[in-house]
Amino acid sequence: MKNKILIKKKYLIFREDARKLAQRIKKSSSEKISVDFSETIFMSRSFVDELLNQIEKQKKDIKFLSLNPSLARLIPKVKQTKDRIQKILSRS
Amino acid sequence: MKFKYEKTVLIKNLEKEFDFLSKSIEKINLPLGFSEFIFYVISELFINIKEHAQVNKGLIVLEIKNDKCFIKVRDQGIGLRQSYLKKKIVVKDDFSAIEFALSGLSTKSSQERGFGLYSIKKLVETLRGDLIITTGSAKVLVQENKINLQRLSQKFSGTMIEIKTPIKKLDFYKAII
Repeated sequence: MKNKILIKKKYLIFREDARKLAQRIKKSSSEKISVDFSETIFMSRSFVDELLNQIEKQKKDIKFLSLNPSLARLIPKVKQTKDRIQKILSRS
Repeated sequence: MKFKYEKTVLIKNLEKEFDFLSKSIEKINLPLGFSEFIFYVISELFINIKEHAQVNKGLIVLEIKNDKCFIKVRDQGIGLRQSYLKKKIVVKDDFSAIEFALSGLSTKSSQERGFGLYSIKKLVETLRGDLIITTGSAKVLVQENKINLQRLSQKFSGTMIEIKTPIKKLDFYKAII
């Protein structure tokens, strides 16, 4: 069964927020989770960075829903940078 | 176009202040991408305060006047150098601590790499603005890709970041690294 988590915060700023969200995802018994960000208008870069770190550690199928256009651009941008750094670090 | 905001904000209340700022800035009708820049800067600097300064509050100044924007975020915490030393990263003085922060090297592990000041510097350079960092006995001005160092006669308690930029359209998501 697919599980949905609705984020009620308008501003997701701190890494701690990302870790809390990751905990909610982890605790869910479902392997497929959708995270609904329809009420979120801002995410900090650090929040996104931490969320991606935390998600990487989990083996669940996680989907982000209802991202506003800014967030929809920010998340892949942060991911792109993280992947680039990871590539550089793995080479050295 | 005129707006002035100055407040000492508890870290736990930052979201409430963002709500207020967001509504106020919306009325000013800033060029595309510029309000993203403002929130990016304030959020990353407050994250630094929370994670490194060991205090629970910081001062935010945001002034928009005559097509110029001034942002100041100041804390009275342990300062950049001490925060590195606490993470067992040896930086010989306050100037080195600032250089380290601007280089994109983080106190975090590679997985949690932070880009706070480094990415802010890149954004300010894109906007052709000035970035001033003051901590301990060091003051560093980043202007037109050049870094100017100034030794302070009196030690500055905590860390202060000041940004002055022209207000203009910015492809924010292209500009951030």
